[in-house]
Amino acid sequence: MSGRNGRAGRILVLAMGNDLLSDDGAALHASRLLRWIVPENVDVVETSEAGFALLEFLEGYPRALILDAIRTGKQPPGTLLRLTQDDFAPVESPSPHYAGLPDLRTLADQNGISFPDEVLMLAMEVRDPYSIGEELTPEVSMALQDYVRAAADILMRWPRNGSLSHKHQAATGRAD
Amino acid sequence: MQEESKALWNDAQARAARSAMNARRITIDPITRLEGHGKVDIFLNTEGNVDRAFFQVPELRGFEIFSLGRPAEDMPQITSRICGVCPTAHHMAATKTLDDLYRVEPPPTAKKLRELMYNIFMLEDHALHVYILGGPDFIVGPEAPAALRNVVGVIETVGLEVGKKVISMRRRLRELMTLMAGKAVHPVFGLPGGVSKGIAKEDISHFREVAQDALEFSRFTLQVFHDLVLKNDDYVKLITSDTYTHRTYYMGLVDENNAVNFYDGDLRVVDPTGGVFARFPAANYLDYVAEHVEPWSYVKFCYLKPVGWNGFTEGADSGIYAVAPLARLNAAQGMATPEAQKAYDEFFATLGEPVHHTLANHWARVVEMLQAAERIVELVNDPEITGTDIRTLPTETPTSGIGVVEAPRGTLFHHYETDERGLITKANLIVATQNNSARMAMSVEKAAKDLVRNGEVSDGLLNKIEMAFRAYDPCHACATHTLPGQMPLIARIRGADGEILRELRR
Repeated sequence: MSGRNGRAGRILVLAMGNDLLSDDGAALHASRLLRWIVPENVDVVETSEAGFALLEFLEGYPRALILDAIRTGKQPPGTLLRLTQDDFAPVESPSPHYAGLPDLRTLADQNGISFPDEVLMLAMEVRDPYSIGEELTPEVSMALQDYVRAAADILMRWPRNGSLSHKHQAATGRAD
Repeated sequence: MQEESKALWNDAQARAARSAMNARRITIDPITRLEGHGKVDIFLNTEGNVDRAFFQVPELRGFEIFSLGRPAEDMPQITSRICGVCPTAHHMAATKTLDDLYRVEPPPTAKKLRELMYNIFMLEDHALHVYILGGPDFIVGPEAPAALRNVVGVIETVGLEVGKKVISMRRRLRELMTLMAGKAVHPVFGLPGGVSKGIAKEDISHFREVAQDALEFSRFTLQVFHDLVLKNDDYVKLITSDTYTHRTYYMGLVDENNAVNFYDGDLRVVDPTGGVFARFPAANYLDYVAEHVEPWSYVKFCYLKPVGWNGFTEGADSGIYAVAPLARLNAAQGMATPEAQKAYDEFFATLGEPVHHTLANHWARVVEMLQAAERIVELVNDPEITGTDIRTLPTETPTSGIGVVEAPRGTLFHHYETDERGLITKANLIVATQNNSARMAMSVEKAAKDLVRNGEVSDGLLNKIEMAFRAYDPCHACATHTLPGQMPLIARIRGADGEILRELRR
């Protein structure tokens, strides 16, 4: 349990992706800039894991902001999408590796693991998350500053003490 | 005019054929509960029975090209970043390849530390599969609704206490890996000739405590498997049914006593009757392993070079072989630790020798968990494990290196060539899933042919087809490699002669 007790009252920024797969690493690139400007109550963590493994990252934090690359093909690369837990329908999870947030919450509740009361996802629409490479595509690279700024804005608006009294401030819907 | 109407007629015929073909195509996409991504296409004939079934890979990673020109010593870090599923296997295979590349022998303590790290990883990864990836098929049941065939369903079946145990054990094992290697997912640990960090004497008691609990946990897992699977006649029937049976060759790493070893040793291959076919060091892998290419898949199909490629067929005349837990148990003559040996004896006494039932992989995985745990206990109680001589500095000029480990999913080869500065000029990886790909393709097709009758396809039936390859615990994230490193294709729909009727591009 080491380290998990210190999470109360703190905020987790969980950046997901693989920085060897071009745009799949967009959130990781953003988090490497973001970590220099976040308030002191924020932990910025990078991971290439998914699904079930994320429980260990989220456990114990009252609030979490997840950064990830997303490819819907429905909007131009570089577009930011803001998703709340309500946007993640509790669908049948096809895989624990792709376990959705509702599954993780169920699993956490079932096993008495403390799960964030508030989880917000800020995802960036990307062009190419499939090619091996460390470079972002130009559109995504250009949008990186906006990504960092939008993430920082969310963090600044969240209360420093980690309480949930300002829940209404969590933005909903799409940012574009 | 006549020509024109003929062309119109032909066009209409072709369209009708295409639409009929489309209607008869069943796709399971994405494959559920599987590491990485995959896709299965099943083609039905006009009677609604399976004509052919393909197991396809929609994701590609041109990793070998990416590594060209990079310093060889970066490979343990780069290859472990291929994906988040088996980073430690790649890390260790790359590290051993560097030993060979620089012709350097790690000191005994370094070897033991690596083996400790590797067995912890093996145990943690196998536990994930037993309880979470493959477990739902057996613990919850293959006929259970999809909504319950997941980790939540597993915990509902085995009980909350067990769920807590699984989650806490996995976490504690990963914490040990973090202590040893900086991080569990992308370890910073292996160096040519040794490791970066030893275990301090004051930390070893913590390792011993977790090791003992891990052994208890593995014993408990074997008990769960006994109670829930082996005592259930329906499951045992399913495991031993012809649908999930293939008589092929098997490959796995063995120690000097021909016992299963995950970290080091020679490769041993047995034929479909269980007789030894070959025993060779990793350095000679190219004499034994060749790759076959099929137009419908990016995955290369490995086969035994001395036997040859004989299509997707079984038996001694076909070079198709398997790796992974079942293959390792078949290829060895025993386990390296006493309790695992007992479980091994029971395994073969129950199922015969060699075991050709793909679904027995799940049982074999539990036997291997026990060996991993016992080996961890041995290593943390070895006085040499806290030694400080953990590195032999390389002095040779590098040219070429080959390394092998047993990944949880099977044999993993790394092979690098470098210039005199140690910059990669050529890299070849043969990952576990690639070794298994031919047998896996056969498994999917056989299951589909046996289970889909007269066009009747239920959710439970599709799950049973998926079970055929889920047993291998395949991971396709790193199994494919092509020049541009990009996957230009999603689906090809083929007619009976193999001609492409329709092609869908990304």
